[in-house]
Amino acid sequence: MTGDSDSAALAAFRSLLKDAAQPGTDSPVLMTDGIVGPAAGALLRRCAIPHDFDRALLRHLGDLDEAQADVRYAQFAELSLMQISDSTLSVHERWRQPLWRWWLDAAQRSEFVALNEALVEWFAAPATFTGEDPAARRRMFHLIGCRQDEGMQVFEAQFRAARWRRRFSECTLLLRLAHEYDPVLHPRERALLKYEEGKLASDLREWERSLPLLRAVAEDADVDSQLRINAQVRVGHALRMTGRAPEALMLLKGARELVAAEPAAAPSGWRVLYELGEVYRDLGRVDDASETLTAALTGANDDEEGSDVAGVLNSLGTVQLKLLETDKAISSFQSSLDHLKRFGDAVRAGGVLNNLGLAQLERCNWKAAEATLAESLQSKRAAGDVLGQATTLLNLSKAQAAQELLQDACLSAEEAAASYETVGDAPGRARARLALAKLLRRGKRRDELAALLKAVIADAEAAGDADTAAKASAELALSASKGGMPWWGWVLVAVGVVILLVILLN
Amino acid sequence: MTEVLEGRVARARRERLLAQFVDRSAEMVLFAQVLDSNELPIMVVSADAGMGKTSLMMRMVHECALRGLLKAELEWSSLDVLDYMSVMRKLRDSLGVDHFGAFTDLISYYTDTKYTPRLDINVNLQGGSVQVAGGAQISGSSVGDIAGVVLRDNMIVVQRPDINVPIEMRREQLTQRFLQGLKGLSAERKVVLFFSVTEKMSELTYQWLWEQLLKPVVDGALPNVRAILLGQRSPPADQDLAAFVAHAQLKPLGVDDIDAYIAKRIFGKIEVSDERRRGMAEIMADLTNGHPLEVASAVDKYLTKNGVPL
Repeated sequence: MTGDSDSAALAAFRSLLKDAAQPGTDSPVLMTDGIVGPAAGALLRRCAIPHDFDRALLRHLGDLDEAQADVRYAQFAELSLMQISDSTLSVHERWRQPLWRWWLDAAQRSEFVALNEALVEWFAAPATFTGEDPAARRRMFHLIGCRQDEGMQVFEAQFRAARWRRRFSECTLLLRLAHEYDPVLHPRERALLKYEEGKLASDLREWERSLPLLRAVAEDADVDSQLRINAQVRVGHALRMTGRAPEALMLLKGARELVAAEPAAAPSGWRVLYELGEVYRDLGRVDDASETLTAALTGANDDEEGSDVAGVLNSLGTVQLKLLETDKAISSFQSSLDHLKRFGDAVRAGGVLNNLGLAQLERCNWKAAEATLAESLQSKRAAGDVLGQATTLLNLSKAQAAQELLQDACLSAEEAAASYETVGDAPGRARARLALAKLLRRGKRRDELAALLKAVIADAEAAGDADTAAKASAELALSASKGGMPWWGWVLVAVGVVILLVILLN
Repeated sequence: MTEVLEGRVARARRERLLAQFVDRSAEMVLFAQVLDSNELPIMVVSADAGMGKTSLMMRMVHECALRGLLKAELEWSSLDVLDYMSVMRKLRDSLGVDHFGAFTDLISYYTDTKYTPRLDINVNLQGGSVQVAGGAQISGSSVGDIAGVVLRDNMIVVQRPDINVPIEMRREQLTQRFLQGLKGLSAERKVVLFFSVTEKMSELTYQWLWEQLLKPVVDGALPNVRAILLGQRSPPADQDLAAFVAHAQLKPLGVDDIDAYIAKRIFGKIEVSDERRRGMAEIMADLTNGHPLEVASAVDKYLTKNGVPL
């Protein structure tokens, strides 16, 4: 039971709490004024604009003198809605969100803009030598608050730089900061954020997440044609990477028509052609691929800034190899490497070097092929790309064998087989061991050859791999015909043939 | 001068929060189980904003201090990039650099174009290896015995473009090096790692945390390491993982807890009868639904209204 005075006090208490809990545009004002009084309430609301603040920034925000800043900082630090760290305070997210929404309202616009201008000036610290630049992110954030177009341009530049450095966590953070302005962003700016999110998901190979984001931009009629086309290209890429090349082909053909119809979208033309060329290549339409990638290269060269000339050249080279235009392919790969070197991109060079080595093999330029493949191998070893090493080693053994360096060729093939085994690629391992067998035969190392082929046949039988068993048996027969196979060799061949027949009949 | 003020008010506020801590006894019991047994090496505390995760963590950290355990705290924010590299660097700096020399050297190798080898780095890659200090000219010392002088790296966050090692491989190699250091450190004493505001972690960092950094903790390869994650995220939906993770979802405060909290906040400042305080607690429970931050703010408001400093 409570007495009358208690009842009255409790009613007043309820009223006190309810006042600030009323929904409506003014409730953040009531809430802050209720907690610290109207004099400090305005400053407390301002504190919700930056993500955190120290005493110096509080002084700046409130135009306070030193003593006043000390008092206010100590007062605010005691508020439950304030989160503390050793050197800063921040308004708790639960309170900052309604305050932030209140600030974005048109009624507060002029004060909000002025405060953000001041904050852009405040966060002027230069980047540190470490490459980390938190002040730049804060400047960008507050620049959107006062000069939206300029701020979004800075966002794009920072996002591009972070993505180039493959700092994906920074990309995520930048997107989150820009999204705080969602209620006041223009449709194009919202689409841009969606596009960047889709790109980020593609970088992380999260195709199912990237596809709806990019499709939404590609189909948004309010977005300018260049962004829409760029989004279409990325949708096409995601479709190709998820095995939907025919669907990608339809989409990219449409994008090409759009580029032709819209002069403003011309800078995106090479991107469309590059992706389209790769789709053609994957579909086995090498003539179309060659024509399209050549056109992409012209466009990319015209638009030197930001275009991936090295990538287009590498793709074109692979298509030229398929068309047996070996000299052209060599030239494309070499140009691609030159571009990569110019931009200091060591990561992609390993793959291009392997392709160049293959082209030199086709050209029977064994020495050059060996040197190129050895360089590619070194690059892939540094990268820890075991499967890539296996492929390159196998190619390297061909170049070495062609120069009668059989000992080296055998070692390369052996190492290739071991690398395939490491990554659990049984067909690759079988291929490498059969290549090794051929080299052993050439080197007349019959005992090793027989032992190897016995092992290959046994493994193939155990795995039900009739094709490899047959090839190994044939190799065994070939070696026998040249050097006289012992009786057990013939038994093995017979067993292999019987097993092959049994497998085929089943 | 200002740092003194800021540090002082931060300490005072933390002490006040610890003194005013109410309820969450079930979570603290679970935390004690995590520390004492080997069955649940990871604890996830999940709840919406303002439900008291920070206060609970403060209490947990305090408990670690009372037990003399080695601990490190990491908090994600809206402004700082805490990716895999920053996480390991910060953990190293909090736990002490002594055991992490090999990690520090490798991170310098990956980020500093002016890198000079301090340790013999042999990054073991299947099918090949990277010999960083192969043939290095180091005078007056052998490479092996200078491990102890490797303290901190240059903190460069941008990866060297001239090394052909993809980011995934760098991440894996660095994590392995870090875990070796952590293993050495935790062989000596128990280590508790706190990760808070996990909802602000990027998806990539979150995946790395569970799939690489915490994997040996789950697998029992680091039996003396505990990890506590606090945030709006629940643990990953993985049945195998669930057996090793203690999950606590914070609930709103009940009337008794609110009553106890009011009593602590107004003690010595305002005289209120037990009955009236109980009535106030009921009103707060009604209007705030027992949301801890709203309860605390309501008490702030009440004290301000009565002219009492917080």
